[in-house]
Amino acid sequence: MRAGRHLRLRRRLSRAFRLVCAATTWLGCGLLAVLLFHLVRDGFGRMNWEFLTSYPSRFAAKAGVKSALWGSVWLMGLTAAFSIPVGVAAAIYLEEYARRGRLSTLIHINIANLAGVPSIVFGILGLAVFVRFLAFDRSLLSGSLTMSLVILPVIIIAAREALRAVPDSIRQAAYALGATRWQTVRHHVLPAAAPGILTGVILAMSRALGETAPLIMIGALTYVAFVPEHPLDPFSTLPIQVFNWASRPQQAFHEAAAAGILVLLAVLLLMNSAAVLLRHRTQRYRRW
Amino acid sequence: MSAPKSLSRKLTRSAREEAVRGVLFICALISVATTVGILVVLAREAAAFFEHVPVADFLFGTRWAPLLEPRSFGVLPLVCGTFLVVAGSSLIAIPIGVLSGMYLSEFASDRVRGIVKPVLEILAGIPTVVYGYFALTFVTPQLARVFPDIHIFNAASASIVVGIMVLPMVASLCDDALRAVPESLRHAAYAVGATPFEVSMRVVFPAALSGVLASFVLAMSRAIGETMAVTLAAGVTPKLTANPLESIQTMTAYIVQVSLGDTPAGTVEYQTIFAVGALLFAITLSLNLLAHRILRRFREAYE
Amino acid sequence: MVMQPPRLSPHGLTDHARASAPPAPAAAGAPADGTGEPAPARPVLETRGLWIRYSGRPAIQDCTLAIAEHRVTAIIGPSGCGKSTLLRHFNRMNEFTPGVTMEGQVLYHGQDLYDRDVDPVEVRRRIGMVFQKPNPFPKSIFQNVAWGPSINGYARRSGGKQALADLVERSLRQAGLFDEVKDRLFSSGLTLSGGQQQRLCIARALAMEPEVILMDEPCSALDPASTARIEDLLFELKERYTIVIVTHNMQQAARVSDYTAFFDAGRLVEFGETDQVFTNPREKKTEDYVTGRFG
Repeated sequence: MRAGRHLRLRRRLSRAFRLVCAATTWLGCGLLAVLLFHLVRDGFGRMNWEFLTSYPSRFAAKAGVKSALWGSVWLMGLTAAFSIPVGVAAAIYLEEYARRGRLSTLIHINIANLAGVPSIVFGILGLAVFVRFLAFDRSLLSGSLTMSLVILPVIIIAAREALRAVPDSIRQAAYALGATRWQTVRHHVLPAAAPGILTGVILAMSRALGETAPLIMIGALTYVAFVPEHPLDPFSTLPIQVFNWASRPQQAFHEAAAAGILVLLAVLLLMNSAAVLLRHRTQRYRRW
Repeated sequence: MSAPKSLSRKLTRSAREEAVRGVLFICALISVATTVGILVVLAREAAAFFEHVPVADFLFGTRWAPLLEPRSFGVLPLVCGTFLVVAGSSLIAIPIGVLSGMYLSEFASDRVRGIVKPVLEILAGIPTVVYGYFALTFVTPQLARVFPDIHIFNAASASIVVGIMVLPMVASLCDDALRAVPESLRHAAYAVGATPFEVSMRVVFPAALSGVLASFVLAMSRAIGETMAVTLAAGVTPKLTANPLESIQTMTAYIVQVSLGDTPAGTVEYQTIFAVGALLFAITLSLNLLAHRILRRFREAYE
Repeated sequence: MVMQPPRLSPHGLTDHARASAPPAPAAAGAPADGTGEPAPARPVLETRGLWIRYSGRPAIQDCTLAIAEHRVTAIIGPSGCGKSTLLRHFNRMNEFTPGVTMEGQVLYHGQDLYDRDVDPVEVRRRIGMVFQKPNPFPKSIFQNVAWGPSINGYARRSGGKQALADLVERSLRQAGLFDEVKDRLFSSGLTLSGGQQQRLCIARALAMEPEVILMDEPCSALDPASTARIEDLLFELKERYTIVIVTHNMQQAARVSDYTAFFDAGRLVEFGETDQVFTNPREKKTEDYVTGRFG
């Protein structure tokens, strides 16, 4: 019968379609495997203790990531110090205090837009405001302030979601006892939202760790042979060092770049695993 | 029963509450200040730039040579370079992303989801310098085996890695969009004897179309703003070409190039950073707004 | 209901309250505490011509009502009649809902609760609330009860941590929960059963040493055994506190309350002593409701 033949064809088409979808999905995963394999093959041999403890050098064999690693550590620390309090505070205001109105919607749209702006534009802003106008020059201070602006929208959005997830019944119970809004937020809402906020913060920081363009804009150096000691010192970071080595033609520098990438990925893996574990734990112990 | 104690406000507590509210409000305003800052900075320096260079020359000129003599400030080669990379990356990210999204939402078991979703998250979290390195040391040599005349720096390998970078976003957004389509629609389609392919393509996909389209627009916006991978892989030679095997320069790569050099403030070269930056900002902002409008219409359909 | 604002009489009872709530010394009969000496029932809370609207739509219409001290007043009526809205108005909890507007007055010992100078925080310390679904904080049992007083500086004012611990124990005893939890005061409040959690919420409210306790259908989410325990509690609590309880369970209202207010579609239909409202209602609608003909 005609219908029968058509049905067979349709079924075959459907199966083929499903196969194509599956194949493309696994292709995506396969790409990751290729990438990692390639990196490990290139860089693993180069990884040793000296690599972590030497400064960069004109000689590829002697080059190390010490200054870049410390630069990244400093940068992450300062960025966290600026962006976390401000981001969480802004989220608290928007979720707990602000009246739903024009100003609140405006701020919300604004944050959503900022989250989509290319990071290099923040670099341009940082160059004009922190490096030139405030004369912080090409220092860790400029870099961390710029990077804080980059990840601030990310932190605010994540923190707002965490605050929103706290059930309203807890707030009502606290207000009914005669607590002020800040007492309620500080003693009940914030502690309840803390794991979610922390997860978002970790993810935002891991994004900051990998960012390069804004830091180049504000003048982070690509060749640094010292460890920064002061927020006004110039600096370099791990991704910038990798960029520097990768741009050189010599194969030996490429190997150094690969090794640097492995260090970077190792740190990122740690941070993201911490975030995932945290997310799992809170979802399991959430008892409301 | 004694008279109730005073119910009026305690001054110290009110003052403290107001102070807290004030501090929190200022923090919320910092995000607004950031946007204002970006607009002011870009506008001021771009305005100074356009005093030297006519806007028409900038927007429609076909030669970009701000640092070499004879100088020319036509931005089209940079735009063309960006466009080439975006087009190439969309060719990779969009099909793979949509099909992956469809697989994840329509066919995949929970176990498969449990593997694929984290893999996609990892792909999305890898820093862009890593992709740039990958382009330079793996993709270009592989491409050279197929196209022996390819340049070391070329748009194609940059497109490929940017595509890989962006595809998790497309897959994830498409997955969300498809899952948001109510089960009842699928059940109705199956009930009239449609095959899974027909249900997906004829019923679910059209219903989720705006979400899917929004994901394309956001992916393109992200690709436009991509910096380090294209700087490493695509080169620093601005030229107007449609050939992906040549080296080109994108807007973002140009901005990085100037920053890496020593350009004194106040010169026209310095101001080109802001002019090109303003153009970049305008393009990505428009795309983001477009995507959000599409998304908003999509949400209205289901809420 | 009477349209002009009632005048305050020397006894503190408004004219209207006197009309609808029998003067307790004369007609109350045997008082609940059985001491043979009828306690004077003065109004702690009153509403006068109260209208409450949600975005223009009236939820409570022209309500004038007096809540007597040291008594249990029940508010009954079909779903959606505005009972909870009225209750929440007594401790200014409606302020957290956007779009709520009001006309008229709510008085607490004669003082307008919604006056501009009045701090809602202070109001809520004197007028506590227990919610329909138990909502203990995700903290330990001790902290649940101790938090309210401690943010008020109770420990500082009353002699240190020991005083706070004593307060916690007293409150838990008053709520009938202490013996069950005394060995695990520092485990999470969420490990308790539903009935226990609600008693924890009652203890939490009691720890603030309020004058009035508002209860919004406190037993509707509980099993009959827990419900019975809480109802027993109310008999003890009313010796010290004034209780207003919203309930959709008529039998419960008949069992526990001294006065009953019956609302329908936002209007106060009838208010009086519970016995009278249930056995000899003045209004037909009341009779229909309490006999189960509607609602």
